[in-house]
Amino acid sequence: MIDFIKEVVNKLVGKKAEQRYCCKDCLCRLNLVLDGEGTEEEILYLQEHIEKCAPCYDHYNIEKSVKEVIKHKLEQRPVPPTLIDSIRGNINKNCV
Amino acid sequence: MEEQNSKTTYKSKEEKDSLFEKEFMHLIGPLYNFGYRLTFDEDDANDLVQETYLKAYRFFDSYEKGTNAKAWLFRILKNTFINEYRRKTKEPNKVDYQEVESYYNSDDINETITSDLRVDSLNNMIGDEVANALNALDVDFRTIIILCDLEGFTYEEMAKILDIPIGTVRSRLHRARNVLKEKLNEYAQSMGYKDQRKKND
Repeated sequence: MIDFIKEVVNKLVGKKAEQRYCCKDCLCRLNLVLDGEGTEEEILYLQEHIEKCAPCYDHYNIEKSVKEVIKHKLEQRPVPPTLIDSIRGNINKNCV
Repeated sequence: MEEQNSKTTYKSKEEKDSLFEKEFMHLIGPLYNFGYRLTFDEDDANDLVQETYLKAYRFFDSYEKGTNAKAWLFRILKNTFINEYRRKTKEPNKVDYQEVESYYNSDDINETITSDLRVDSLNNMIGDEVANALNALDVDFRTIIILCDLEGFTYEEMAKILDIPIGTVRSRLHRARNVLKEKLNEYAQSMGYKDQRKKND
């Protein structure tokens, strides 16, 4: 029945509908897997799926790259050298 | 064998201080950066981290050894920020409240911003551009991106740090990423215009 509906939709609005359907279907799995929260089954599904589905493969690469730029491109500010001593002093003063 | 998830016990103040240092002090870098990314101000970040360590020391007895020390400290810092700093913090380029509200209330988690954001434009971005895109997000969206993508917390840890259910972690993360991608795309496009200008010169 679902296949029939997809077929009709495809005929009406073209191949785009198929692509949207695919992306919607695996989007949740995609983020779960990239965030390290996917089950073995979900990881396997995604790996197999993105080999066959170009829109999902592109989407996977974008999501992965967004995560990577946040992880690797943001500059880490150095901790002010006085902060650690000041924390120790504060603790000794306030928590005797 | 080391005892897991037991209450922290110690015999003297010296022992407590030494345990405290060992468990928590090495986490000051990520904590300070988290404080700075919430407040955009070095002094406020300093105060937040000071306050966080002071509270951690006071509540050290209730800290369960063997649990995630980093998540525990991040939770204290986030709560301190909400209670003491949020109202007075200056937030440039804040996302319109209505827009955020509609994102939160939307039921469709599968709704995705389909932008023309490309992997190579992301790779060409410099740190400042990524930071500007992140800083333009509402504080709740910014926080969840930092916790997940920068600090690598699990959904369960984020749920505890933020006091929200795991389902909300997932939906908030999803919406935060959509807004982040929009912002990154804006930068990518303005970069494209610059490249085009160079070619035309």
